[in-house]
Amino acid sequence: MHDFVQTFIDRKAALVQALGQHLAISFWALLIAVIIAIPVAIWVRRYPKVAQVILQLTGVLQTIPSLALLGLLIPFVGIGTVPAIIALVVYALLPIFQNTYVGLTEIDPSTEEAADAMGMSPSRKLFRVELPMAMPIIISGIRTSMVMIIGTATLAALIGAGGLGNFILLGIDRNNTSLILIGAISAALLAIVMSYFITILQKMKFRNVVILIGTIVVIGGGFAGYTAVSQLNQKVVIAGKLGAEPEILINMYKDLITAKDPRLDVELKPNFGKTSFLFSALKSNQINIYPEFTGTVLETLTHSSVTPKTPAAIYHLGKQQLAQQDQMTYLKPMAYNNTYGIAVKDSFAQRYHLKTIEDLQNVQGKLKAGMSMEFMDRRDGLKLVERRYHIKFPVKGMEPELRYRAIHDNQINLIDCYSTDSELRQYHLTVLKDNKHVFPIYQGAPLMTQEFAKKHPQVVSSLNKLAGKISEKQIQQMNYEVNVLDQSPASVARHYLVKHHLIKE
Amino acid sequence: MVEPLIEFKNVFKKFDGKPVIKDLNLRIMPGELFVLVGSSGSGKTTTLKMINRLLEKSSGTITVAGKSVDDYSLTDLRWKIGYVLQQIALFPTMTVAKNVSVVPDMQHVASRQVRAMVDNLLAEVGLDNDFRNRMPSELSGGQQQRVGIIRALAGKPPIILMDEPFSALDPLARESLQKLILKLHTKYQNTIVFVTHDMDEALKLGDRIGIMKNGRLLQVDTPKDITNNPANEFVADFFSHNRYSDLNKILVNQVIEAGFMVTQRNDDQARSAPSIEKTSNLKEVLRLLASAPLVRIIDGRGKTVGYFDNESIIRFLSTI
Repeated sequence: MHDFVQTFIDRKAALVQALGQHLAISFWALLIAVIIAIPVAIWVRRYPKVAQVILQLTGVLQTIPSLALLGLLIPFVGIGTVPAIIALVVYALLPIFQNTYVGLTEIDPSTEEAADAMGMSPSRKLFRVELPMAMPIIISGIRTSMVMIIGTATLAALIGAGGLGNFILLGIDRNNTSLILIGAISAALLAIVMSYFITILQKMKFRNVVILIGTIVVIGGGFAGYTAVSQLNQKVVIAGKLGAEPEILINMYKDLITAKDPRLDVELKPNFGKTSFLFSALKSNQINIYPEFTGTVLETLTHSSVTPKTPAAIYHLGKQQLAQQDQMTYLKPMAYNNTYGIAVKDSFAQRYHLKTIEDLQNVQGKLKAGMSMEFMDRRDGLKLVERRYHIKFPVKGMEPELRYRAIHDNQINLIDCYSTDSELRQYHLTVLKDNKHVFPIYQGAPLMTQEFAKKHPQVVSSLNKLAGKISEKQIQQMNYEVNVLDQSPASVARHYLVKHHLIKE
Repeated sequence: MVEPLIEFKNVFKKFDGKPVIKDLNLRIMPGELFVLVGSSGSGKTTTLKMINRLLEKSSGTITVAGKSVDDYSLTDLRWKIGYVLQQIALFPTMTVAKNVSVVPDMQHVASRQVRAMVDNLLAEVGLDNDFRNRMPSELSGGQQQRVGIIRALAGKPPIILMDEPFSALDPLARESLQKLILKLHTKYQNTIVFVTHDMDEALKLGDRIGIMKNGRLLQVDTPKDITNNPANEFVADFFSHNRYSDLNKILVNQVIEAGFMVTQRNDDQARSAPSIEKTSNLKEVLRLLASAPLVRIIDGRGKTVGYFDNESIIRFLSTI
């Protein structure tokens, strides 16, 4: 509980921003859904067959898993707010359409006849008689859609649209329950507040509702327009993948860039998404720079058919392929290699003089390993280690988080890991050296378009200051400070840069 | 000579190719309260709805004030013709005052004038000002239909069509609304076309009565002439003293056709009521009614077609 309150206080500003984003996405999605669904329902109410087809269609749309829909939209509309709103609109259509249709078609025919006999025109009949009679059921459809939208909008964070989902994703990534709770509870509260707001709208006169919604649209539209215009204004946007490490790196980028050119406006988008989201955002100029690993470039971005052995060769091949295939500039990498590793307790390493993976041959009988399923399954994982180093030991498959607990409690004495995990520092573990280069190389370096690099030579030279810097120990330490000691990535990044004389205090 | 206000000339109406109105010729004069009477399926409601074009005729001409109904714009035609429904059908989301002022509002009558008119009309049908802001659902059936009637009057139309306006009401409310219609008719001197299946009601209200059966108009005359000189046997069936003199000879069927059957009863009484065949006679009905409040009428296959209660039979007997 104390953790929860502390996290809440620390993140208040971020929470307000996320709430604002969440509310904006939900509002636009709901408004667009209403503007589409209600007129269509009004139009098809005289054609029951067409209505049935549309009901089926919107029903099918609703069964598409939201993640899949977001993924499908990326090639067409890219990432960010627009695809998030489109996906939410798709989900919101069915309840609004269905309720409007049912509400209108269930009106007593004799009431319709009375309106006709009074000489009402079809539009007057619609607005004075039919819509008011159907209103309660239409409103309940809108409310259903609204609750659904606010819930589903948490997934918008996955494609860089922000919102309360950022808290939940970050919480899952950092194994921080307080963050998850803050995100989830805020979304639930938002749904309750909006539901109450709709109840108030329902009691207001129709004309006033239109005026109120119109005002919100004008203000919201103006704000969105202003943001869009100000973004054209030579701003450098740096994004990072999920997690503490990318967030530390992009804070370093920002500090280095503004140290050289203080007038440049740099905006950070931490926890922006996964590799493919970031890469397509970079291509469509929604972001300008993000840190990417050399191994990932060859594996995922350029689909290289060969993988060279040395770190330098991997970097150069990746750089060359990115330049040719995607007109990208890939700056020089940092020193550390964020790859798989095999770790033992510091004390265990000392007692048996273990420095490299080869050294394990001498203690084979004493080993009890706990490893992640992924590592056990990969061709370049455990299987290759056993073959190349001629060692064999009993292994249990475990959840990644559980491995660290288990080795800490001496239930096992050998685990797989990522070489920059903060837990290595937290639980005093030693990573054994991979002399035979079994594990692929993953070195981080800034990625940007050639066009951007040409336009901003001073940014390129600022970022190149990080080339060959930051060891594995150092990045482990920094990850530890953010993940475990709960320091802000910005202050951790700045501290490193100052300490190593890359920027002045 | 006075021109008719509404005139049907050789009017036919078909539904899905089946003729339901056959060669209808009828002249309704200004200021008349004209009643169309007949059993269900006789075509009386269809005839009524063709006047304000809620239904379109298949052939022939219908004129209103000397001009074919097809030559009016729909709105102009309907503002000339008030309409009262059996289902009442007040607009449930509007207050009583809003319901009454639907037509004047569309005609852009000044709101102060509309207000005064609504107050007047409410007073006319015995509802005080408190009713202005009530919702239709808060009113009894009889009160609702009073509002329904003044909603039709509010646009000051020269013609008012009434489609079985009282058949869903209880006998007390029906009685007082019938009186109200006569009073309003005398006062406003408008032309009313009134549809009913209830011969008693027709005789009570009509200046002239048209009797319909199977889409044909059998006879049009004053109540007195109809009872004294029925045009054919069917009309005579309604009124012949001789035919009704012996209760054994009056068939249940005839009472139904004269319009004295209660159609809707969904209570315990209805379930426990003794049944009688349509082909049975009135004497048998009276015998059953002596020991039960309600008698269920069944057809040849045992299916319930309706009910008689004490009141309906007494009303029938009063027409003999």
